[in-house]
Amino acid sequence: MTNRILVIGEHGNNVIRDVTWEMVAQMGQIADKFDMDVQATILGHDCEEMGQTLSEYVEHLYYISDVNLSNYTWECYLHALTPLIDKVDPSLIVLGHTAMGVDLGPRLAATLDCSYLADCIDFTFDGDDLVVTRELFGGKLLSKLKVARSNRYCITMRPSGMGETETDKRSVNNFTEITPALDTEGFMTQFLDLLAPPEGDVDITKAEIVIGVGRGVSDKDKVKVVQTLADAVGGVMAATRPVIDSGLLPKERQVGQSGKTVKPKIYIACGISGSSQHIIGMKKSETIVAINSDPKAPIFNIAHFGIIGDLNEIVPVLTSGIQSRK
Amino acid sequence: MSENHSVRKNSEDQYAHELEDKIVDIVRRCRNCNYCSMVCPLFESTRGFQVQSPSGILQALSYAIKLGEVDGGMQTDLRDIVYACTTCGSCVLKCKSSGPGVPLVDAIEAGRELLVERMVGPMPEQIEALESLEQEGNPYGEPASTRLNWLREFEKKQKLTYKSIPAQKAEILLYVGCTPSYNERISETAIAVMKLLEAMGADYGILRDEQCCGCTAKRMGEEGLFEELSNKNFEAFRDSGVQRIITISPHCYNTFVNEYQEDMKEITIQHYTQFFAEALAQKSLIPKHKIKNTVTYHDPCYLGKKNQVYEPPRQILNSITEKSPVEMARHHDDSLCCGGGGGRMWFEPEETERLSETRINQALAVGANIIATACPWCHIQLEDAVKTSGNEGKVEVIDVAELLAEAVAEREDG
Amino acid sequence: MEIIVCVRQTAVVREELEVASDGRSVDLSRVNQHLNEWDSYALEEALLLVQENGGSVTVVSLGPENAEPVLFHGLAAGAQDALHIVSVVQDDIDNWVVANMLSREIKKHPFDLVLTGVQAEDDGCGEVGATIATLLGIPHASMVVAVECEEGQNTLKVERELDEGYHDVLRISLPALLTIQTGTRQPRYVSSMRLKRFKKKAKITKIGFEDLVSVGETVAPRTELIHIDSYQPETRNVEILEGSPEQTVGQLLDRLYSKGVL
Repeated sequence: MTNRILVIGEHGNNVIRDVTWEMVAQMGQIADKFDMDVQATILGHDCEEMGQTLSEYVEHLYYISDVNLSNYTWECYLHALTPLIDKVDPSLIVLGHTAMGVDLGPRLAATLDCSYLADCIDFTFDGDDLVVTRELFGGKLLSKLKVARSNRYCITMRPSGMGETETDKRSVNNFTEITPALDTEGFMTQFLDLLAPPEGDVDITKAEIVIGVGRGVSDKDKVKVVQTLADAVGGVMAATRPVIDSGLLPKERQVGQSGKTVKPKIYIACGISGSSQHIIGMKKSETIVAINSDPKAPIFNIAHFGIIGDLNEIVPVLTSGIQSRK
Repeated sequence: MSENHSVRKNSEDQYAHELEDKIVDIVRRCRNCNYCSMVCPLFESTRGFQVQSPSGILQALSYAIKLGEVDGGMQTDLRDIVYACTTCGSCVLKCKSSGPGVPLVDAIEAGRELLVERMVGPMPEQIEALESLEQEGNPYGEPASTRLNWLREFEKKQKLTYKSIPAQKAEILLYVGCTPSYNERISETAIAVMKLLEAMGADYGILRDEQCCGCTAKRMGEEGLFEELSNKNFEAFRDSGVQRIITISPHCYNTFVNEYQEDMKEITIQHYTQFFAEALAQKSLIPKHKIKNTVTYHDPCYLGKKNQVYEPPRQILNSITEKSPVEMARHHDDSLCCGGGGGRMWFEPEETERLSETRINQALAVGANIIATACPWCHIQLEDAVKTSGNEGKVEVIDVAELLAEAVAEREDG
Repeated sequence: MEIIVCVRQTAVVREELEVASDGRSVDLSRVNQHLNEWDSYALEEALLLVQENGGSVTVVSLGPENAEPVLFHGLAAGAQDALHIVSVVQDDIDNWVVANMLSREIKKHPFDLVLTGVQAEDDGCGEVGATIATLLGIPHASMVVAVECEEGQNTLKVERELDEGYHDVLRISLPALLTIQTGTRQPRYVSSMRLKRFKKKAKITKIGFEDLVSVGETVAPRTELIHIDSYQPETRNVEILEGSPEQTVGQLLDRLYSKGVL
């Protein structure tokens, strides 16, 4: 197998997404360790500037430009990528485990007929074998898997949520633009529209104090109790996906991978177990307080302060504590 | 009225058709006098729509059946209407006392069974409770293995005397129930009951592997699950050889007495208030001091209206209070439902005023500063309502068992 | 519309899981199993689409013999047929094998749509759906939250969930495969009685691996499990406050106010 890693980058709103920076940094460390080199590709239209920015941090950057790549679809990306992959012949293809990664990764791997592993937390090479670490049962267990020896592997990496990580600048004059002139005649899918998240009454991403609620807050009354705390402390309420799905709070309050990312001064997590999809949306908060009755809840792994107890008891005491200190 | 109500598909639908027939037959007896609306807590706490009264719910069900609409276009509307009832039974008493005696709640519950069979019900919020009941034997999503944690935690501070059934034999089975087992506040009721039984030197035990009585499943229309739970429980009771079962919740009491196997009648089943009222009368429990507060007793629907057990809790309170307890304006079979029965601990329809908050105001109106309860769900509903109505500090919700245990206990200061 | 729904049984994990002493398996003997939550949304979507547009639903599952309940669930919920690709202990299975075997069976049936859940609760890979689509040579759309049939055309409009609250809308030609996200249309409840009735009389078609491969052919897994560990986070820097609610809250507020956070 070759010593090339190809990172498939993502961008949105005219910037390279955090997850791509994380991939590049992580692959940089792998490359150093195993004497490999990191190449990357960005697909889109009018993305040259982003491509140039990213190119400073990798061995080589391929910017694939086509009007049909203005919006992501797996089909257009696949048609654009396969010739590049033939040319670069990477032994490892890396995507972020994002909406795009989940959609494109398995399709790309199956098309190339190479092994695929999703949502890897860590990986390494054991000789020519790829060994990855993944979570099982939503984080209760960790599994180590070996991928059968092959000339090529495709993996998606779990975004760490830490955003831009230190990467060494690698080289210059390493930018190639490719214009594949995609012919979408006969394609099986067609992009129609991109829908931005609805504007809510509250923009939780701008709040200094965010109180997040999870499954432990299971009905309107409990939401009210936490709202009283939010009012007392001058913060806004946010929630994990299951709480939003059950209709207790509107969608614009969702924090997590498929919701919003918040970085407030303080994030108080009430009854949140700490699934990775949620954590990635609030990990960068300056101070994290977790209240949960389960001492093993993953939220405590990233919290600064923790109270193990019943939030129905703790939250009202916290509210009155804050009110009495005003 | 046409007999051809609902499209008869094939014998696969036989169970559903039997339920439909049962409901239509019951509703046929309704005279539309609407006396039931006058006493219905749902009608009182909502905006006056006819479908939020007993006769209204049944008319909606009946028409849906006749028009073949049960799993047609109006699914969730019908479901929301049928599941809003608290099953308190006020309407049943009123209908009996004023005329035809239509078994309204039976028909509504048959409607729920029908909706579940047609995969229209139950309410989405109730599905997790049912799955948890089936998998863990409690509706709270908690592992079965932690059911006795409340007792283990308490015994770290103070040992209690009790037997573990079936390994040991006892005369009395204290059937704890899911709510005291998994709700910290309500576990204090269970502890109070155990302290009282210990004070009496009673020969009693607790099941090592207790499971839900099944009332919740039945109220939500999951008859099959109810049967599974009741079969398992009945076998455990029978094999244990106990002669008496004492329950903490009136819901468990009601379901054991009225809905379980015929052979349950061979065991004496009591709600704890009945047992302890007898104990006080026989002087096997002696109060050592009296409570000075103004106490009012809230009749739980499943103890009062459903089973006519009104006096034993009052007898207990009379013997442990300095001042006579006061009665709220609505008491005995006119008691106002707290809104927790009939599967409503899991969801709430739109209300103009929450039933439990109305009840708090009724207690305050007679000058009470303690509301005595005898039902875990009334207790939770009323204690929450004290907070949500902004009356913290003005009135407390305490279980009859807790009050009695305090009255009977030795005080440290003598 | 002929719809095939891939369903799977997963464990309902309410307590800590124990890893077997060989470090290569998990003791699930006392853990309850149920229909994977994402698959229940896929199943519901299929049933509603057929209710709205006519057609039939077939459920298919690859799993051991004791994974039958999810197929009976599918039939009781309204599917017309159920196919069980039975795996035995000796079969070496990973997601590649699952996708491969499922696609071989699905290929034998006429269909307009294949639906799967986005991912499984136990491994969270989210790969089987798109892999099946590739092997079948049909288009796919993942993280679907809404499906709209286009009158008179052989296409669907699907709305998909992206990151950060964005959605996109695609047109996809049939036959196609969709992976369905949770929170779409509430899955119907299948009662204990209904399930029991269907367990007694409904028929599940059983298929073995040998029915899906030619003589001498095996589909080999591409990954090998090395070992499983309980999750120990590398660093845990949390300060757990101890005491009564009043005490812990007091300590917390002291720290937050002194740090200037509040």
